[in-house]
Amino acid sequence: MNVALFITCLTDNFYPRAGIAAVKVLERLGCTVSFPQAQTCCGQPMYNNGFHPEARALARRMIRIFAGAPYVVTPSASCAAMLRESYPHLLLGDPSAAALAARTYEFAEFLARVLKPDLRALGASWPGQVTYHPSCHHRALGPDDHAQALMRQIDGLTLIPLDKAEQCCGFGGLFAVKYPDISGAMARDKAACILATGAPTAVCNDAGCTMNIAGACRRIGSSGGDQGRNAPLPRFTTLAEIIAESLGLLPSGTGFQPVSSSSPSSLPQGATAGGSAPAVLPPFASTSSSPPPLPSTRPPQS
Amino acid sequence: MAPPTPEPAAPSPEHPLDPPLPYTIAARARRAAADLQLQQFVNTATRNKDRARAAAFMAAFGPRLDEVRSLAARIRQHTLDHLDAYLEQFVENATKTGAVVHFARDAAQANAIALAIARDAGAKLCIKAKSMVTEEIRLLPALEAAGVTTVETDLGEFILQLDGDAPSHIVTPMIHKDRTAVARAFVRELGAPYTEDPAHLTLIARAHLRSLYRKADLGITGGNFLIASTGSLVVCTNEGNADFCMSGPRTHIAIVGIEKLIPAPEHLGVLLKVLARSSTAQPLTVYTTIITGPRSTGFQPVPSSSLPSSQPPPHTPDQDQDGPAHLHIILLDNGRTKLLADGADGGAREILRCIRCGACLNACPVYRKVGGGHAYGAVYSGPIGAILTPSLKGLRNYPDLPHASSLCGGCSEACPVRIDIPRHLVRLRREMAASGLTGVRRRIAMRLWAAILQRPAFYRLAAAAQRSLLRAAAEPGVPPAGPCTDHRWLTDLPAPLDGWTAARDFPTPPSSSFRDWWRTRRFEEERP
Amino acid sequence: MTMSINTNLGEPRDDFLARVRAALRRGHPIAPPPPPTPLPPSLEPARLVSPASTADLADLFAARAQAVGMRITRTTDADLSARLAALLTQLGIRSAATSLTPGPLADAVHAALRAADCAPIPRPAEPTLDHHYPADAGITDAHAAIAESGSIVLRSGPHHSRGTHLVPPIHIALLRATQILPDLLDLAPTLAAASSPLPSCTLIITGPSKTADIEGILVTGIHGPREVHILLIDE
Repeated sequence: MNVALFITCLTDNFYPRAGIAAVKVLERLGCTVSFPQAQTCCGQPMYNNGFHPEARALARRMIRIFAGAPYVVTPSASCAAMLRESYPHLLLGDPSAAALAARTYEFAEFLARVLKPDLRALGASWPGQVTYHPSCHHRALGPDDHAQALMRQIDGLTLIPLDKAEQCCGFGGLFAVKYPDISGAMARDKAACILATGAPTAVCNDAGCTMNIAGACRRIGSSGGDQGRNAPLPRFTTLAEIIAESLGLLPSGTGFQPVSSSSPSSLPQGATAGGSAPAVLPPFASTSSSPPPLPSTRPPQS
Repeated sequence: MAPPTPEPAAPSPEHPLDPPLPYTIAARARRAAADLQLQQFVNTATRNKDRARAAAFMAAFGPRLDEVRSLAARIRQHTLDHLDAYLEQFVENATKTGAVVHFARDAAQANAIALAIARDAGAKLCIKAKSMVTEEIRLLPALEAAGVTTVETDLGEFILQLDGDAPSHIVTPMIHKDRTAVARAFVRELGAPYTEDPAHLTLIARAHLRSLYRKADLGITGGNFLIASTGSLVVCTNEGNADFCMSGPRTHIAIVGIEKLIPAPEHLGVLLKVLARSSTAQPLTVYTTIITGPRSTGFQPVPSSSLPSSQPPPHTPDQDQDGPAHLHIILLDNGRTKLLADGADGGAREILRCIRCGACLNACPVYRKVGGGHAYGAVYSGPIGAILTPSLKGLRNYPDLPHASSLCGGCSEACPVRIDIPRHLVRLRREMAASGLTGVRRRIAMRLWAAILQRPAFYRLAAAAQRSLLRAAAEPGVPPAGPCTDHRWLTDLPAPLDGWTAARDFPTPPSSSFRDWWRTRRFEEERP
Repeated sequence: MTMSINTNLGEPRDDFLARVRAALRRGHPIAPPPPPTPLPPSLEPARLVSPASTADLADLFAARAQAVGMRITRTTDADLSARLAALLTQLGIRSAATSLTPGPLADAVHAALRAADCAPIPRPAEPTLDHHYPADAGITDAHAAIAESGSIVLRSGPHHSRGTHLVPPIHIALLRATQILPDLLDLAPTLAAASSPLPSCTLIITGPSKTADIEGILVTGIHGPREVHILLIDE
């Protein structure tokens, strides 16, 4: 099965490990993954902000680049929704927009609806607790959120329910920058719910959400806002990474972490294929948002 | 328990829903973000209602849920697409029932008509039910200025009126007020003893309002629906206050937006089913009253019906016992035809489907965080207000409303008539960008950004530059990581991006991108 | 009966309707628009309760009405007067306003009032709701009921005031099981002017008067009655 990967600009630059994991999982499940190098961005920021001529140009470009691919798979729900829901509106009456929309899948959706793997039979194992934040664009993709169903197929993985899961985290692209009071309140609310689960790992499949929520968690941690909380901040990861780790395609215990030099680093989960486990630093409550760096007792990483 | 010292009602420099224009949301949003008590009220009230709504729909309709919403949407859309025919039908039928139908192009005309009717009726005391339209046209000040004492009868609105305050939610108007505020208002304005018990407070209001019901000579309501084929008006409440307004006084005026029309009684059933469930998670509001003409004064019954025998026997009206001698229905345009005219795909006409259930307000995280309706600076708040207000009152007057949203889609998921609110928000943003209402800086930045994204080489260059700049400025993280996970952190971004770091930290890119990995994966040991 | 009021303060009707037509891009402003194509073939997807036996509908109605806070007493024609008298006594009702179609049901009610030593309040000649205010209770029959929502349906008329169910603090309604319709959709013929003029007021009542405006705390009896009792006369 030939799959063209649409990596998305945010994942490419900020969370490449999610893309790497997606490629490895797709290949493990029998796909041949191609990566059309000419791709850049789906144009969502332009579209959302009302710059539709510019968005249209980028949309036409994307349609050309992915014209031959039988399946287009992307690790971002919001970008998948852009191609599926918004391109047909943006390019009203253009059959190529509808054609691309019909071939576009978000990663979890592609596994659940097309590949339908039996992860249990493949020996997927990932002992540990996670909580899951469903990004808002899953609403646009369809009623079923496939990520949870897939995680339930993984041996040893415990899903801890997230309070107010359906409430938006407050990213919204430029909204986060332009309306900091509103966006910040939403982000803090979401971060507090995630921290309240006590889960060491948080799964979130939208890079924008992850930047926002992890950033909010880190700000809570470093400003002592979490009431003398001793536990480390959760590691943020994606469904693709969890599946890849569960199948031994990527080392577990590594990945994106909102750790600051002034807060305890987290203990990695599962076996670590490379890199040493960092020592636990004493908790440090700081009232400023930019605490000075503490001397680290860890050996420096190269 | 000694009552606390009552505080005087604070004089408000501006009516909360009628601020100076153009209106920006920042100041009120900032105040609301800091007001934890307000956050608490609004959060609890709305989130519980949202979950109750979802549960009620699931319990009633199960897997047919979306089909029923689509049915309700289709009924509303069809009516709008043929509004001219249905309006004519309504006017003809309503007039036959003995109602007088008036036509108000705008708020000023609507108020003038209402005043003329009040004057002609010699009305001194008017009792009124909650109606968004009457807020929209600012009816109360007009009546008061003309010497007609007007009392709000909906409990929430009554309390807000005593306090010189304004509603903050289109269904539950005083979610921003607590019982102590009510107690103080009753002591101050009604001379009642201080009590914080909601049941006692309610009895105080009931007794006071009843004394007015018996004296009122004019009743004013809005309308939830107008039925074209029968010329009927439908009013829904839980309190029953509207029924006092419609049945006691000699004259009843109903002011209704033209978009409230539905073709026939059978459609009412579908819309009622979704209205109360969306609004307050009930199968129906306690009182659903269908008014067809004023008090009837006697005429001959029309012979035999073709109703099946299971149906109740046909009614043969003679002379009604009571009810108003005069029924006036004021049909209001006030900008609705402007929205109606935009009937293109994704155009504004769809917004007129709204049945004012408030479900979108209850689902909206922005609404919760800005402390409810006052932050929107207009009568219609929440997601529907964010698209309706700029459309009715001008985008340049409310430039924030289309942008103060993360486009999460909670609203469109909750809407019983399937208005795609995020799509309309984006359309309004497009109109703003096209007409130069979006700032110059953003325009330039967007166009530059789009130009870079058109050329992969520029994109890669810009990504690399961004990576270097951000990482150089950042404090190092402590990652157990390789080159794809060695993010650093920034706690202070410069303007215009400082809004981000005002509320949270910002992760830099790691030192390697996905493209880097893809390019070298065949030649290096894979170690992300 | 038309008002003497000068309606020219509003916009002339033709101008108003012409603007609506223009918004919908009709070719000619004055001629009547073509009739709309009929709406969806069926509203049945919205149906929640299918037609059923009288007994089944009565049971469902009783459950739903109870769920919305109304109190149901099942009875028979033979028992009706005694049950009503007992209820009046139990609730301490000394005076009651009535809205009842003349006939056996009304006779049974008046008998019950006498038995419970309860004074019926005479209706005044003028069209006013005033006489209801001192009443302890309002007693009405019903035009119909809806099982789906647990609602009763009343209509105004020569024997039915708009205020009997509304003004006194307690409303007692008499309903025959045969009057119960399955679903709200089945009320449409009652609301349609198919063959006879509609009453000026049709009321669908689904519970006692209530509000939660103060901090979301539910309080009943804010304007309308705080209690609604239904005597359901089984077939």
